[in-house]
Amino acid sequence: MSIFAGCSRVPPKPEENEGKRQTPVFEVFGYARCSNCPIVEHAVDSLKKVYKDSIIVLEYHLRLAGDTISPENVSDRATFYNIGNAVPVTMIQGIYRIDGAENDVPSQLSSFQDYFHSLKEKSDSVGLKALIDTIRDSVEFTFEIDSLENVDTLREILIVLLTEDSVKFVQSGASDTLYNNVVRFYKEFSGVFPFKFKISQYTIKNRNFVAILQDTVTKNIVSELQRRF
Amino acid sequence: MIILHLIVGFVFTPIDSTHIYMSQNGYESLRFELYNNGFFNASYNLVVKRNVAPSDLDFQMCFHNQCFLGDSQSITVEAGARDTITLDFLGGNETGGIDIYYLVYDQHATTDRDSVEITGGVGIKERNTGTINNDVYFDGKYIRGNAIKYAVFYSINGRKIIEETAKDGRISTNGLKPGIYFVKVKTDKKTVCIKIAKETP
Repeated sequence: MSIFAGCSRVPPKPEENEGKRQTPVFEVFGYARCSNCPIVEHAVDSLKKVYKDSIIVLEYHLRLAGDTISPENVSDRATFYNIGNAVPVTMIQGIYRIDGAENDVPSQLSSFQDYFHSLKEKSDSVGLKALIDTIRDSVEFTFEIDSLENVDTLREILIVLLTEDSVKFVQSGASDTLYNNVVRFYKEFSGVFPFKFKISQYTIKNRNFVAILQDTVTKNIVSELQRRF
Repeated sequence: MIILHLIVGFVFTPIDSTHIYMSQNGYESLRFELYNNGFFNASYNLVVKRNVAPSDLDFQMCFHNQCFLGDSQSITVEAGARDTITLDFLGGNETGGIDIYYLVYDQHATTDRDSVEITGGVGIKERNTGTINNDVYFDGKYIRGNAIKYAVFYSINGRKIIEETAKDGRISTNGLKPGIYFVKVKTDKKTVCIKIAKETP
């Protein structure tokens, strides 16, 4: 939090990511009026509560049936995974796709936990890291990777996201009014490392910052990091 | 023909009433049962055909624990199985009548094999209960809110009807006949005006 204390430049602080084990990434696609989505959303919210920083949960609210709480460009992510108008769809680590929901939250949670436990010991051979620097009202991230030889910059994209908890959205026909782990910012980059990205302090405040490095051909998420601001 | 029917037969029936009335930006839902009484697993196309409907009325079909937004969707039902399909009506800002056909086609058929007519309408949203203002609201019996002091009730024509003082942080509307009223509510910080609809008890 001290990086927000002043406007002066502070020394870069290494991200707390040892780059040895992967953090399983659960991405959920849905919209507020989808009646089966809450089962999946509540299950991943429970996983996040239990496993905290050992899991990354991204809930994309597609701009369907009046939902407006995620930015419009999350449709790029849905297109990437070939997700149409049928939801919920859960993508785990970019490669495992689960269409639909179980009959209840405990069953869904149990299913997700199996994926989580099978993925959490997977080694991170790339080691995505971020140096964080505060310049006046902005936070600058310098992304680096441990082993360049394991990265094909022509195939891999870096995705930067911000998620937010307790987002209130009231809509007739929607069973929930408060949503957690909602994707509120989404941007894709491709290029060479080290890579710099700057964002306003006010945009990032009280949100969870997530960066993932993904192979666009296999769709495998090869490295990831997160940090709560 | 009878043999063919047994091989590919199905029964499509509404579970709920097929008359639907909803308000602007509202939501209603109807359930249908699709029974594959044939000998083989079969796929069907479910299609909403709009005869009359507000242009911003969206449809969502939910089955097999997944929801599909749009006017058409295919479903596979195992032989002998009965699947429940929920057809959600997602209202927009537009009002108007509803007269639609919910059609079921066999996978390879060019015309529908069965259909259900659904009628009704999307009406103007009447905020007669619940939150009307961020600070003051009418719950159907009492006007409630933070630090409310008194309220002045006016008829729809602007005629002053009655003035009521708050008791226990609420203002009773027991003395009012059913109808629409404008109410000027004084709180310790400001005055707000709300419109209420007092309904027959």
